[in-house]
Amino acid sequence: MSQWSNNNPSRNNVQLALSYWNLLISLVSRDIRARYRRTILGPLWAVLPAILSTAIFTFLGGLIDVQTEGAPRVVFVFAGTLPWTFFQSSVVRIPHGVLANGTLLRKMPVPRQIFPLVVLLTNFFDLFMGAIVLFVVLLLYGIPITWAWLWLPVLIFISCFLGWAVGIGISAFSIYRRDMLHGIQYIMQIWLFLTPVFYSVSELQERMYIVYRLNPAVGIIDGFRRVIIFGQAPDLSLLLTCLVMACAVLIISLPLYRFMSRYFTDVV
Amino acid sequence: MASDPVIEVREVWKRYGLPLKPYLRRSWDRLRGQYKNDREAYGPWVLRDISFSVEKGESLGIVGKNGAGKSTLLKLIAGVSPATYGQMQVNGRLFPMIELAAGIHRDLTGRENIRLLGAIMGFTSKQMEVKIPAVEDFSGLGDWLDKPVWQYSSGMQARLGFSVAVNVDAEILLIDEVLSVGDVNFRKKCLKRMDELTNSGVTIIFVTHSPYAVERICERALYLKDGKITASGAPSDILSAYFEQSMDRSTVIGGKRMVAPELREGTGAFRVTSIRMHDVLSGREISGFTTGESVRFRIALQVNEPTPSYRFSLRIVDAAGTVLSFVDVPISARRSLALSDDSVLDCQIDNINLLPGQYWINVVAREVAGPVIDSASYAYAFNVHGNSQVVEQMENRGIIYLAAHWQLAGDRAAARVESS
Repeated sequence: MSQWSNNNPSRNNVQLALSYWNLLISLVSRDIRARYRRTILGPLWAVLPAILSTAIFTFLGGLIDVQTEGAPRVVFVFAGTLPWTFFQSSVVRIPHGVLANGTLLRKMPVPRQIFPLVVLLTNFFDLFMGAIVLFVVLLLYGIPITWAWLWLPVLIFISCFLGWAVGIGISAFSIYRRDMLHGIQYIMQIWLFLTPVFYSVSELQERMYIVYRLNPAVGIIDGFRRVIIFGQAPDLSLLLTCLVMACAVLIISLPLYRFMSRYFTDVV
Repeated sequence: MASDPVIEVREVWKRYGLPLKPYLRRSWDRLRGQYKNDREAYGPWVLRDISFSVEKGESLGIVGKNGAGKSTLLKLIAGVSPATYGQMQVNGRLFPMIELAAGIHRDLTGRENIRLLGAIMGFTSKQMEVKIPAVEDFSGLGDWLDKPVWQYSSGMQARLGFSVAVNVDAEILLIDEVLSVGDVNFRKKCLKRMDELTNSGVTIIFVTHSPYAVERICERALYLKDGKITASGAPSDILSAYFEQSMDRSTVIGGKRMVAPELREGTGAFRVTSIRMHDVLSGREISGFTTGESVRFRIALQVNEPTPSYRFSLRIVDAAGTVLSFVDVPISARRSLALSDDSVLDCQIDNINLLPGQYWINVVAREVAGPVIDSASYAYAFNVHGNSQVVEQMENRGIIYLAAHWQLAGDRAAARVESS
């Protein structure tokens, strides 16, 4: 029904899907190239945020002696910040990504659903760069890679799903008014402290059980850490919480985003 | 299927913004027992009841003042903004060029942008590979294609966008004001290409402020005013309507419309206080004349200081400020005006071969190799009417009247011309 598929030179659904995929990839490669083009450190910026926050949290954690379940502190913190940065940048960058493409949206009938996906895929580049650093760290500390790593795709998928659900909700609101763009980083900061990124999940479980049960990010971060450091399976009940919460958010945010993105030209 | 309209717009209304607020206002009024028609009571409407259709291969021009809703209409057709009421049907691949840099990313090179635009149009990279040489060639950007777009001038950006637009096999092109940029050669190239495209069955919808381009490109035109179609038909008719209505109505033909002397630039040694136009033969004051007639302009001056040698000039300009002609006279200090003299300068211009239309006079007095003494733009407005040879309809078809003598070649044709 959209003008974009009407414009498309392809004459069947397979070709249409293919050109959608091609557009997705083109936009992702545009974003990755353009993002670091006018920097000195270049793609290093993909991994620097995770490294820097690891450094800060390692320092802080050492200062107030946060327990790390026996894992080396750097590894413990990095295994938390890497998935957190991935999740957080999905949430934060989706509204920015949607608005940054405003000039395009205002002139071209591009499928509006594509921009959140572009952000998610672009973040994979950061995750990939971070993973390289992670390997180096694991190697240095002699932590083995186990079969539990097969859980990672599942965890990454769930984290994308949650980031997408929340991100498009914030986008929908940001199209109308920009408050969320300013506020989101503080919301994410609070969320970070309520998530066992630089402390262990057991502490959250003991002190704030409700947050432990309801915060959908807990299952993801804890899951990553269990898989990467301890070679265990993630806590499935936490992951289930995460999925249920994400779906609950999506029920509201997806229709809202679809509606608002239709009126993008009118209100931005 | 050739008779099927490519674009069909039926009773389209458009109000900007989210539909929530008007909905609430309307519900509130209903609660209070006031039933009002949404289309009458709850504006502002950018487009009102627009209906038209465009056939395949047709080129439609849309003219109208700023804010008449032209660009909104294009956006609706392009599918980037939803219509509030009404239906819109587009059959075919469409490329909207609503602003110059549509979809162009500043940090990428020209070449990367071409690929990206292709992807946005729905081409796979393989399909695009075939088209890229033609696009690059048409743009004429050469080595610039490897430079990031933020280094481009706006004209070059427009070239890039336009080159993609006309080379990606779109069936419908929506073009908004883009032709006003770029150098003359590129503009010519664009016009030629657009001719080729319409001949090969591409439909073009063209929105512009440049009325002559509409005449040049379009077979049909719409005149939009305050969101309504007030006229549609042949471009030349629409253009006359457009000019008539967009003409500054505050202009008093034959009257004074001069900026107050203290607001004008110049040293003010003397000021032009009024301009009048007189018929050369009868000497009567007139506000208009027929193509080819002679008139005398009488310029009244108020002298404030002794004036040195200066040149006094009159310029005849059109609504856009284009100088159509220029006459001037040197006046030496000896012959110059005495203080406290309220003098009059007469200027007779013979056989003014302007086509029917409205024109203005700009006056400038400048000291010889010195500063401006007085200058007034659009100081006087006058009309030129047609006569038996120069029909009134030629208004806005051009500026200069040329006496033309036509003859058909060939024996029989010549006989027919003579006998008629």
